[in-house]
Amino acid sequence: MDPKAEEKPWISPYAYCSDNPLNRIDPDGQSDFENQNGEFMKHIEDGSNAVYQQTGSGTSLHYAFEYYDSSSGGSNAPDIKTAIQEQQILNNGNDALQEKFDANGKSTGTYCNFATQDVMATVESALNNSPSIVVGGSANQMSDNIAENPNYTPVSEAEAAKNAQNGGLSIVTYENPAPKGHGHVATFSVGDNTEKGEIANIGPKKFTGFKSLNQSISSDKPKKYYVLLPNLLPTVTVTASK
Amino acid sequence: MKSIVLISIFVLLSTLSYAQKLSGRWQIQTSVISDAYLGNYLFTDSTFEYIIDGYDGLNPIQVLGGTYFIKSDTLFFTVKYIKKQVGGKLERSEIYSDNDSWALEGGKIETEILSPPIHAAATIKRQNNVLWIDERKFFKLNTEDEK
Repeated sequence: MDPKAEEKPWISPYAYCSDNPLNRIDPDGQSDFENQNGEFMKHIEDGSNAVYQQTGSGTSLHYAFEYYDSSSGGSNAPDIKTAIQEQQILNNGNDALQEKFDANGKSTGTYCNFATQDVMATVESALNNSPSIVVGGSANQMSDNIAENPNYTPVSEAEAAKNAQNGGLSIVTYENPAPKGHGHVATFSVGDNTEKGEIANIGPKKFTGFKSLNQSISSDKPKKYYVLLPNLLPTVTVTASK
Repeated sequence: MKSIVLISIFVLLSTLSYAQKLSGRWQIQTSVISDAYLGNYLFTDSTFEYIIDGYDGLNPIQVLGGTYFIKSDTLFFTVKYIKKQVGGKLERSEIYSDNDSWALEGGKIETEILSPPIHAAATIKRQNNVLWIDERKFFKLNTEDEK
């Protein structure tokens, strides 16, 4: 019997894989499952039928929108908030994004750039890969590249925070002017993650996780805030036939 | 006589071609661009800058630069200037993680001309996008990745 049957009362608790065994296998009856190719899939009961596949590897591990599962009884439109939220959780647990040290105790790198790019990639896939919203480079370069990307708009801190509270993609950057140029970039937490900390931060060990804004980039450093233009996001109308 | 001229032209072109191919950014240890560069050389056809590791927040000398040329398997540097951080505030950093997270932040960058310039030489060996300078491995970065 499906342990999450209460979440889908319109589906028989005895139906295997929502009566969709050709596309799914369901070893434990949860919302995460492996498809028949052994690929990790994720569907969240958020009113959207969107199913995501975990794709990429190492520092590029992210969710990519795959298809709509109409048996979920929701809407055939992605919920961007959920996409961002789950990617932030995935980043937090992705060992490849955690700082490591060589035998001399020297950092081999921190990866706020990749973590932010992974969130962008997940959102981009949910937007049908159009427009292009993933920007590359180091943290300093990303700060420049986001500013040049017409799909983002600069906003105030308060506007960025509000956009994230509404489930949108908000980004904070610090462009370090020093020639050695170690800047920082991070996404604002959304959904359930906001209770853990305002910023989904990847950086030095101590500052990795859901942190306050000042733990991500200290208060005396100049920051810039951007949001993914809200008109790019789909209008989600939940039409669950519960 | 004609063959000597041809050989000379060939040697000259080979040297120039080798030098030109150094153009670009070469990062120590890895070709992966993490959130900051590790120590790296930025070469043009005739000039260079060495930019220190972006994870080192304590070193006030951030860049040294000048001209270079290659002869056989030796890279000859003429260091003409350094870019140095002056002033700034010592702090526990949320970004720099080397030196136990101590960092000198802020201040301003001043260029100091070295007079006389400093001459130095290093062995150089290259295989495609990997360069060994005094047996340390540097990887050419794809500038497309930087954008």
